[in-house]
Amino acid sequence: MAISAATHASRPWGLSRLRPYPPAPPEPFATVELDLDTQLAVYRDEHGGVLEMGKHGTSRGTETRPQSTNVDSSNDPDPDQDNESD
Amino acid sequence: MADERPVAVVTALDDITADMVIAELNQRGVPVIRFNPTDLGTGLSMSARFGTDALPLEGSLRTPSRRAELDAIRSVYWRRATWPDFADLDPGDARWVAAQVRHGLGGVLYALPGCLYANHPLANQRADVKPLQLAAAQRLGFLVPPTLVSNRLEDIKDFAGTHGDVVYKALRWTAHSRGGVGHTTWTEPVEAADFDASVEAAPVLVQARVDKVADLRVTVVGEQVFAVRIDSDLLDWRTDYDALSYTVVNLPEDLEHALVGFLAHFGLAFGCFDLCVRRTDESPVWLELNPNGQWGWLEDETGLPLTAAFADLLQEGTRHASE
Repeated sequence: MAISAATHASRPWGLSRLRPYPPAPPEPFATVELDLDTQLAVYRDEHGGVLEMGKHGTSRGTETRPQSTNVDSSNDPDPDQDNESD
Repeated sequence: MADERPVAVVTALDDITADMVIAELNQRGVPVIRFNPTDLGTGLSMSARFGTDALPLEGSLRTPSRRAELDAIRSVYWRRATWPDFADLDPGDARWVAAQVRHGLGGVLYALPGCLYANHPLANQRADVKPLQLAAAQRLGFLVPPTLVSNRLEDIKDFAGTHGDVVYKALRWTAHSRGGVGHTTWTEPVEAADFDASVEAAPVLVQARVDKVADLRVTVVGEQVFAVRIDSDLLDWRTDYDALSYTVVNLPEDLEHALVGFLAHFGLAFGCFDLCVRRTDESPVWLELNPNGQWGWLEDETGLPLTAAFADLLQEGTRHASE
């Protein structure tokens, strides 16, 4: 008879403590690309217009996003710390 | 003579905080090479040679717009690297190839000689282990709230019963979504009665709740210490940024030294500390370190020159240490 992994009688407790992030407004940009001269990201709206992002409140909308780069609500999800198998 | 050695910024394209630092480095005339591991196969390439001559490692890194000699990178800002997931392969193959990338590209980037890392990813990884943090904080003289990490139901119930007011914290933040909605854990109050035998499958962290008057967020960059007091009625201030007010504060010198020492203990160039101010005596109490924590929004809120501090650190590289 094959040896199978132990099964858990119930869902591990911590899973009951996961909560949804607050709803985030939609991304304020349509595209993002790298400016090869400055090495800065260039954000554009759906008409191709360049958006001013980042400093001084212009990106407030992005700051409540779970994966937003500017606030700490997700700590830092350095993904190579998440999936390493060895 | 201008120092032509570049600063490498490893991050995703959509990273406003990295942009703030790169813009500052541009203004200072410091060359920058920016890339993300997911760019492999679309213009990012690397060759590293070992055992060739006196150098421990030589080779180069190329992006569509930049080239850097591996031994000439003065510093690395390891921000928000993302890795290719090879989702088009079957899961076993994808996992195998992904490990080759981590240990090939990642491995070389971890091994750059004479380079300052902010932070070294492996140091981040080690410092992000809460039991290690708690033990180090205690050793370095911080006030650490009574804390239990356990999968033993009777011990958890006993701890909760003894301390009365306790909170649950996840041991590790991990990206998680249910039905397409991102999920996380916040610091929440819990009671003995909340726990059952389902804790036996995976340890939990419970901590005596500190009766606090405010939180502190302290960003330490090199040896520059930037402390912000965060006032709110929230147990976990991350749950509602609109409810927070910020005040720049000065910390006692011994606390600043302890924070800098904590980073040194883990080999980190910067870190974002969460502390709180105890109601009884206004003492700062240890909560945790976010080794690669966020700080961009704090500069917006307080005007603290954090971007400049990061640029100082990256511009200086290890020159200071080697002189």
